[in-house]
Amino acid sequence: MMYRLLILICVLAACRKGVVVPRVEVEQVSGFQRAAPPGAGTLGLYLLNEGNMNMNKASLDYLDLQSGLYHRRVFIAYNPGVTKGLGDVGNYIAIYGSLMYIVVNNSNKVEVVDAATCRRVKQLDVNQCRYVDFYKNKAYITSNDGFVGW
Amino acid sequence: MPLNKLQTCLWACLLFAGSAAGLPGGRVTGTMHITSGMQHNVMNERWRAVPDGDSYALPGSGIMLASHRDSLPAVRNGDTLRTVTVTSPRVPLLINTAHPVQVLAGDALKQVNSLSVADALRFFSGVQLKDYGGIGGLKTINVRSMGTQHTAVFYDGLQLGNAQNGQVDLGKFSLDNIDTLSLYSGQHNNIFQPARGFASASSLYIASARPHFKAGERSHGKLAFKTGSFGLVNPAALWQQKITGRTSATVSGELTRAHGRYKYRYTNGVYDTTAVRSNADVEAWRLEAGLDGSLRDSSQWSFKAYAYGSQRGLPGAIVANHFEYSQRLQDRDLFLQGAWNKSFSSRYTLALRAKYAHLFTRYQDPEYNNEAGFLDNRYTQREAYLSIANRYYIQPWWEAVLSTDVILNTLDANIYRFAYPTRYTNLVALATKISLSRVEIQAVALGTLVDEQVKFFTGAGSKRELTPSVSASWQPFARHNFRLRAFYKNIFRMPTFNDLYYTFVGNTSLRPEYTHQYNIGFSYAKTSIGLFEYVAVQADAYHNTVKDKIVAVPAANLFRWTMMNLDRVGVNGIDANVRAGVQLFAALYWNLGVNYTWQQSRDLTPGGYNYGHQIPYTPWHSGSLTSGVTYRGWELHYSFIYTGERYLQKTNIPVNYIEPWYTSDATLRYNYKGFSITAEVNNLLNQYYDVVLNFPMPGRNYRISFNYSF
Repeated sequence: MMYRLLILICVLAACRKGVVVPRVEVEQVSGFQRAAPPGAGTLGLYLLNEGNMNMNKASLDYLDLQSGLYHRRVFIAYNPGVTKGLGDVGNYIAIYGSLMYIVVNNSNKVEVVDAATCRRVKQLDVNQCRYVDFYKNKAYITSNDGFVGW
Repeated sequence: MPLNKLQTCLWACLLFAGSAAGLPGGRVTGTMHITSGMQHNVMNERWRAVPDGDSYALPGSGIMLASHRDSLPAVRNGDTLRTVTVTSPRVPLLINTAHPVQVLAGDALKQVNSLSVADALRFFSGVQLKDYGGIGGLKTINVRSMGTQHTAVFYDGLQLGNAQNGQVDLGKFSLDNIDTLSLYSGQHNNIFQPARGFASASSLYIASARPHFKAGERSHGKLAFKTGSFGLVNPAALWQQKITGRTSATVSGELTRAHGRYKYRYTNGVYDTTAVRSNADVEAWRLEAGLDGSLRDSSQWSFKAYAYGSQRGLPGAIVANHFEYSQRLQDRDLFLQGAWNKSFSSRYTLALRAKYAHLFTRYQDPEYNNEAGFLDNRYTQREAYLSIANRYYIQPWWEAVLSTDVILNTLDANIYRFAYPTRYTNLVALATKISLSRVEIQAVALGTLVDEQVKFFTGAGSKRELTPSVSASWQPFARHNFRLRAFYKNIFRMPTFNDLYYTFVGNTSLRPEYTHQYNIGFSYAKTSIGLFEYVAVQADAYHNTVKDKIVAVPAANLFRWTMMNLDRVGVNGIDANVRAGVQLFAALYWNLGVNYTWQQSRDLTPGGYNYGHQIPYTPWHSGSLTSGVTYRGWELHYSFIYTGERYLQKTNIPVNYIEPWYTSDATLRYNYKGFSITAEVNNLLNQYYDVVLNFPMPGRNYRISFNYSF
């Protein structure tokens, strides 16, 4: 009987597809047209998805404005070693210089990535962070935790 | 199966002696003597050991013996009984009820590795347990995809209400003093019950241990101690005392303490993180006392007091860079309940039941950013309940029941802009049942009248509903224990106080959430087929719809959500289970149980973006397998649970996909006289999985228990 059970378990075990290493998923936006000549240096557009709270589903997408290719979940694809990825409740995103700042509220962090490659430069831990703004080479992060940091 | 169990079965069979003709396949042979007085009481105690008593679970098999009628005329009259001579082979008969019922009782309940009622319910088909993990985590059930709030939970016959959120945390109920768990789709088959018994889409009956005294016995006791992973320390004691010939008392108590820490692991193939679940500690106590008795006029009464207190951490969702939480929950539950019933003649019986419940909940969130710098919410719910049920036998085979319940619910909270609602519910049920030897038909009409008052702001309007249900079962062949059954039920759930009045989110114009259930099924049992002592099969196919489902949707903007009657769900499902017992050699007994559920639960919201998609957290396939061998004092049990692939949000796209999970548990027990020692290994294959996304479940864990009954 145990033998049969073992077979059953193996059959059922086969249903689990196992871990999938994150990759960039690229899709051509159908009917994509460059409506007007893009502004100087504007190559593409980053889109931050907030994701439902507690679901850890914040994600970063990229639309290439030259080709109309839409890249999904680029943060985890280029930084697969970051535990649980971009995190929970992506609240704000901004580029300053060559760096891009992604404020992830319920993950209590700001991901600082290279704006061109999306590779992580640094993770800043800020409790309940909300927004980021810049002034004279400094980034100012607002937090709903009773203090302001930079 | 040891002989003493056989005797227990005999007792069960004995109960139905009066209607033995109604027992399909009841080959009755042998001897048993009954005289009145004490035996009468014993019968009654036995009788009430099962919810409402129209069925009895056969110890050790999880299979139901079912009587044709739920009362014995000889007992009803309270006269001295003549000596009746009955025995029966250990014949497991299937459920004759028109409403599908699944039962775990006695040894079958011990066989599944379970600490709480919630754990045991994983072995029922058609049920999804929502489990946030760990010993202290919230555990609720969803039956046939209609939603948690559509399952009513009854403890010793009376409902555990929760007007605040409409759900009962089944993780709070330890199995230590529980005799029987029965889950009815539709409603309990015995129509002689409180009107509340008809007022939900499915009902779970939890029956605590009742005293059973043999001749000359005056007391019983039980001591138990469990320890193991998660720092669990769980002593429990039970004492049953016969006070007079007609009165007995039961007292039981329990302490549960655990630090709740366990390892969990998340990986995507590149990162591979193992961490320890924190803030999962729990400290709980339970104290329960009951009195049962019968009076000279053969009326019966019972009284019960139940108190529970707990203090626990609430482990949060494991999301990137945020693994630690500090929220706390405190509970103090108290309820008092009593019941009395009397047969005034062979035709008319009256039953009165009353209950008072006081539930206190305190939620503390030190991470919450408000002016005070933390959140400290306190909620107090009160419920007063009175039920009068009348049964009248128009003919010996035709009964009519009129039940009236009055329920008063209040909720107080120390939160901003709170309405302080009071709800008056009046339920009137008119039910009738025709029981012939091979056909049973019942019909129920339930009237619900709800009025609400609030101290501040606007209250929800009055609701007036009339909802019917009909059911039938039929045994087509006199000589085969095969029965067909069908039921239709229309019922609704009221919006909860949270749905209506939760500050900013609540919406007082909500309508009830309606369900329609259509079910057809069969049950079949056969005994003595070669080596097989019995084989029993039951299967049901069902179609449910949930209309005006209450969901939270963004209102004015994404930051202001509100409750709306928006969604519609259509469920097609099949529940099937097979049980078998084999006497392999003289002392070696093997049993097997397999449950399987298929569910297609689709979002049918008109014009919805997710039209046709499977609703969140509902697997298409799920099932369980339990198997055990018993050899003299030794028992070895194995159980397996499988939950298939599912989606965690409304849209069925790859990012919302969750993999199947399955766990194997094993138990080894040794019984010697009144002692038993049990070793359990749960999640044998150490699979890391989430039932609810980002709430990791424990890997392999262990438990050892000692029991002493005397």
